[in-house]
Amino acid sequence: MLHELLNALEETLFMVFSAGLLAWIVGLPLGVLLYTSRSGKILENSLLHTSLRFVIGTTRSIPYAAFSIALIPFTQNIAGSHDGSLAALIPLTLIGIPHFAYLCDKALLKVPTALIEATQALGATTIQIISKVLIPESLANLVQAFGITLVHLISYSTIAGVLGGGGLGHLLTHKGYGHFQLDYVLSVLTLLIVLVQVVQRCTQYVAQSDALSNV
Amino acid sequence: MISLTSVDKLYKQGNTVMHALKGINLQVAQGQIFGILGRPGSGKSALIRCINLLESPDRGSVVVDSCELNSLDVKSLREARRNIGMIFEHFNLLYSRTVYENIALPLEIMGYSSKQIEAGVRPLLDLIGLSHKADAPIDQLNVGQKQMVAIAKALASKPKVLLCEEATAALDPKAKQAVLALLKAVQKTLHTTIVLITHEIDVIKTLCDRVAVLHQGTIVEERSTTAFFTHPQSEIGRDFIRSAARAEIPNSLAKTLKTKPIANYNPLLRISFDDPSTQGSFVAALVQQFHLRVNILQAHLETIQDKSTGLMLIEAMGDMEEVKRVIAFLEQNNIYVEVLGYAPRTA
Repeated sequence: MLHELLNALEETLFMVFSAGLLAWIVGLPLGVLLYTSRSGKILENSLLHTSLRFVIGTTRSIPYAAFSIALIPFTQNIAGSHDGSLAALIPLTLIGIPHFAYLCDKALLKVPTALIEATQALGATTIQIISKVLIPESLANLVQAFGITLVHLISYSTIAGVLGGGGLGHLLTHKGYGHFQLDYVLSVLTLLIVLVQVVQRCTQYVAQSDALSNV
Repeated sequence: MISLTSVDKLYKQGNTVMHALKGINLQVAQGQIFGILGRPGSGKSALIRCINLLESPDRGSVVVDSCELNSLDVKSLREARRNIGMIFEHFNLLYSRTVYENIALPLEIMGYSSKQIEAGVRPLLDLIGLSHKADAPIDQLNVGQKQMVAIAKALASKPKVLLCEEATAALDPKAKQAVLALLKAVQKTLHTTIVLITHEIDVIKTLCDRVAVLHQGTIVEERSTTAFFTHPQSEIGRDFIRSAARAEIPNSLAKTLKTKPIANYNPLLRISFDDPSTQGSFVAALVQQFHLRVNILQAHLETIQDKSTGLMLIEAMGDMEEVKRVIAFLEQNNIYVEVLGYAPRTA
């Protein structure tokens, strides 16, 4: 049983952190674009802003199970199968990106406009304003936003497990849904709760660490 | 150094248009500290932000250091702005950076190497006396120190012009004095041209060489600070001076004061003069040449820009004809007289 649990945990961690990493890499620039294209901001562009907001808003509002099922042909195309952890990574990443981008935008909105103006007065380029002011000043909030995204991804990964993906969700379906095996169900639940707590504590700790705590 | 010609600024909010600046003409000479005095809502904030184009004027031209800013493309404007430092009421420092890193920001933006940055930042830390706080985060500073760091940051790119947006409004009196002294030192040692906006008359008094009074988007008067304090010309200017100078009419007298001359009433005069050493001689002249008896209610010295000016409140005991001759005599001698009212004759 221990072996099964560890295997499942490893698969879950793989799905959640790979999707999370991709969500950070793609979601952060998207979030920055969503923020900076808003009217009155440094890259004001209402067409870009409205389209981004539409895509991000729509994707976020689809329940994950529906989203994942709707993506089956696409997943099949890319991963060659729609079963397994690798295949589950595709819908997970695609939901993680807009989720994190949305929260990035919210975090960036907390940076006072006056700081951006003061940096413009120094003759800074748009890239310099983003890299030297916007992101460093909102880093603590961005890390917390990332934590929230990871927690959502953990929850989505169990749905992915139910829908043919691997990990703790798969183990739970297999051992709990078929013939209810209390020891498995309790162990999986405990692992999930611990995982969520660890992620939350860690991001909280990083966000409040010395380097970021002043923000 | 700075020249604004026919500058207009409009703010549109829905269907209403607010005319924040109307036909502003302004010249600031190299090395001057130029104060723009105005009440809240007078448009002074819009005016100072037009100088580095944080607000772009709807009409008119803005020339700084022989460069017309409002005809530049984005890239050239960015470069021109490095020649214009700016400090703000609420400092606008980055909390994600230390004191040193905040002052380094303008140099990083200019693409300097870390050696060049160090060479630029260290002397500024010495100038503001915060070398020992170089690695401190911003939230460990008090408000005065924050504004000092903001000044050092604004000076890092060695700008020819420093703009101050209500730089002392958020400071306690002690911090305010320190910041004003620093600005004065910056003008003296670095010969930076400084433009500041304020609603505090004492900032003008201690710091500025010239002053412009802004009211409802227009400049109602503009002159040297000494001239402004001794002979304010606009109603708003006089209000500001009255609020600052303590030459107020004693309460008991104020109650009985009339605005028009009547028989048996003596005119009450407020007299200001640039050179306090002349005080004795003109009082003597009044008595000896004009045989006018004067009752001195108040007399004191004001320090404006390290120079003393005198202020007196006197009751002239004589009829209006006689007093008019006296006023003409005083004004010939560059002494400014204002008739405040008429008080009942007691003696």
